Amino acid sequence: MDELDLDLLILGAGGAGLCAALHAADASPRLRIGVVVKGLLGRAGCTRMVQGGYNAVLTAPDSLEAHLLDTLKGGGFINDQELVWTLVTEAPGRLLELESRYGCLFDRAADGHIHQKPFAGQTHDRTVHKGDLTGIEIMNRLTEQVAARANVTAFEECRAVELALDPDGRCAGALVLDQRSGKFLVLRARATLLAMGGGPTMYRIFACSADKAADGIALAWRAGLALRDMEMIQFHPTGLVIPGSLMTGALLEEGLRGAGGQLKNGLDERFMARYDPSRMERSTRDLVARASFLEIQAGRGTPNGGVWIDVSHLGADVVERNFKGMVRRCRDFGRDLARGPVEVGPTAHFMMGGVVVDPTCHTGVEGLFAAGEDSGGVHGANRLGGNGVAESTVFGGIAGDVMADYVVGAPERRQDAGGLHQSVQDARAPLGRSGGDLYALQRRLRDVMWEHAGLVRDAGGLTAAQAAVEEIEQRLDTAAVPGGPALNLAWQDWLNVRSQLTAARLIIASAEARKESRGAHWRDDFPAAGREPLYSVRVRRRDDDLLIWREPVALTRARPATSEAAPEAVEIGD
Amino acid sequence: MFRWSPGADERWQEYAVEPGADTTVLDALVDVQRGQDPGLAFRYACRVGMCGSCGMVVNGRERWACRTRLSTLGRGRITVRPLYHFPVLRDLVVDMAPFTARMRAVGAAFAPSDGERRYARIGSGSGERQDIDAAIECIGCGLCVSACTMVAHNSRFPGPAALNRAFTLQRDSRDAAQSERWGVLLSDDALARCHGQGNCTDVCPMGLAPTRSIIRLRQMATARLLGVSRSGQRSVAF
Repeated sequence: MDELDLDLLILGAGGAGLCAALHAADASPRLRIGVVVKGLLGRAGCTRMVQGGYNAVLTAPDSLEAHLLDTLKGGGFINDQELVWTLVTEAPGRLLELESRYGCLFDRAADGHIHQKPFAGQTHDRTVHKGDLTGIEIMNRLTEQVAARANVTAFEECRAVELALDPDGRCAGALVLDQRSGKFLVLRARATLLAMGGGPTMYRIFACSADKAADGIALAWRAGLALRDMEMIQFHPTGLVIPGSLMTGALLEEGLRGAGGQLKNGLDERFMARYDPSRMERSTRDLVARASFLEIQAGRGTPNGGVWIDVSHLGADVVERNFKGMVRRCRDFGRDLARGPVEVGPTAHFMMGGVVVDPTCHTGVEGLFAAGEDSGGVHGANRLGGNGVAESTVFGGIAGDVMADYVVGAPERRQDAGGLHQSVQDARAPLGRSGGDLYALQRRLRDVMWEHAGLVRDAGGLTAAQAAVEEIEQRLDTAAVPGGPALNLAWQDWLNVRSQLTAARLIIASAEARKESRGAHWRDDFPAAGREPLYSVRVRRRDDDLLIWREPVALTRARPATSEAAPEAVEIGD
Repeated sequence: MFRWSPGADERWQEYAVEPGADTTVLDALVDVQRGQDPGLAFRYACRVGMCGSCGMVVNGRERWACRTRLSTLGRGRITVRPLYHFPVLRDLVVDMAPFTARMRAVGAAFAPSDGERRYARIGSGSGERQDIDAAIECIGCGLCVSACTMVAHNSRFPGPAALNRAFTLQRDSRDAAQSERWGVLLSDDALARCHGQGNCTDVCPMGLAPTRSIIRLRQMATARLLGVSRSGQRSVAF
């Protein structure tokens, strides 16, 4: 097995990973920095897919306190308030850095000042954007900057399969699989960042990038880290329904409903009248998503198992002018959004939960840091639109700074590759094997999660889901993975399913443990929010078992008004 | 389908798929790989037209596999091969390193100027803003490079994507490396070599026009040489 010594190892190359790399690279040109990316540099993951924008407080009357409160209300007040405070105080600086140092050029108003648009759930116009492709602008600029830094090496089409711990329990880097050659290598480092971006692809319908598999969550779990609020999965109400196509789940932006778009079920009823008669389609995202799900489950869906979104009454020219990208997205699939209804449905979008971190991205393991969607606590029970890319770039940059400091004087890690041989064997085990259908297992996992651990949950369903996951885990051990190690999609998918199963177990167990409804988490058997004290659901590995507990939320900066202890649902972009 | 793996001869292999109305090229590839030929290699990530990972040549034309429906390709046999002008790693997977190298060769990274960090005031209706907006939303898919005949002819030619990005930087009043970049752009192998065939513009899935960016760069360079003060502005006709 090849081994390579680095100073900093960054696992993941979205907004968090690349900001970390740039900050560390600029802290000292002598640092050897490695970035491991599952796909091509700059093109993997979800930062790239951000449409909406970036929340940052730039001018009065907006304030850091308002951003903090909006984020806490959105998160049902189970956020880590110190993380949120870090987010809101650092976001303006990071945004300016993206513009003035890395070259992003965000949209301006006519007078040349930065344009900030309203996003629901926020008390001020706060969301900075570049058209409706903000993520492409951010990722392209970050990627160019990384490519221009001599002390950053990208390991493209490589994936981390295990965190390497030294005999003292410190993180010593990671075991990495080069998907092109099929060879494993050990990347040893004194500081390692987990920034692989979560990704709820264990659900039947999902919006996030299809290369994601919650690998970072699985790695953290196996390394014994504590994770929080894994039950909190955000579903977006309007994912495209394209039968038989991977395009299914791709987002149609929320602005369609804001502009007056109507949702109708298969019986042509505007069903939101039954769920939220005053706000109708402009109701909150979690409520609209759940209402659509219930209509479909009750047999009142469209022919392809969705609901209709109709904006055609606004006038074709209005729709084509204001929703150009969405019209095009639909037109590529023969749907005419400007002139008739289009089938949409709920789609799994984002994992609010993740590794427990402090505001400087430290985890419970020495030498291991985490940032972005792999970490938990910033968004609580629900994420505001525009807070996702802010989180990844803010905390990625912090992690880069902190790690660059940390490695000065930190001893070289002496991790012996021998200790990782079992991990290599486990990962290689299915290779060349004949057996059951891997993809049937993945479909079953996604169906089970969708039906029982998705938008609507109850004790019985969660128990059934847990049993199904255990059964699928067993059958994964005998699933077929034909072919050799190099560029073998089936092998990579086997590894994906392994990670998805691990994350699924944590989601189910955490959902079972939260016996209330809050934010994105709805329990049919506990439909109200619990009484205070507010808590975070924690889970970690103990031997091969799962240790789960509740941790009280520290209300260090703000308390919910009594009536707000209930899930304050909010409208959310991406 | 084009098949090749290291050590083997390249070959064409036929697969039958039964497409639905919405089946894309990417869906068909996934179908074949999962159901018929697990060894088939291709690349994708986001699968919705944002990451630029699934570019390939379908029926003789560069396309993004995830947004190309089979039903738009006519009846009968469909040919799929990897992008041109990139080394093939296996089957439909190419090494995109030359794309990155070309970007780097033209200095396609923003260079900040020294001094106080603040937001530059650039009006939404300004010529600078409109020029940049028209060219900036590149997803790096490489279709334009594959379609460019000059890339094949001259390995030092940066190609459409890199020149297109260079244009947005030369138009960006905040950038501090424009002089150096002009040195590269005005070398024998860059702007001078584009023959204006427009293949890049024809195939760009984002509707960008690298051909126009290249023409605008030449225009800016000429204006600069002649000392025309309004060099970068849209009011200069071409």
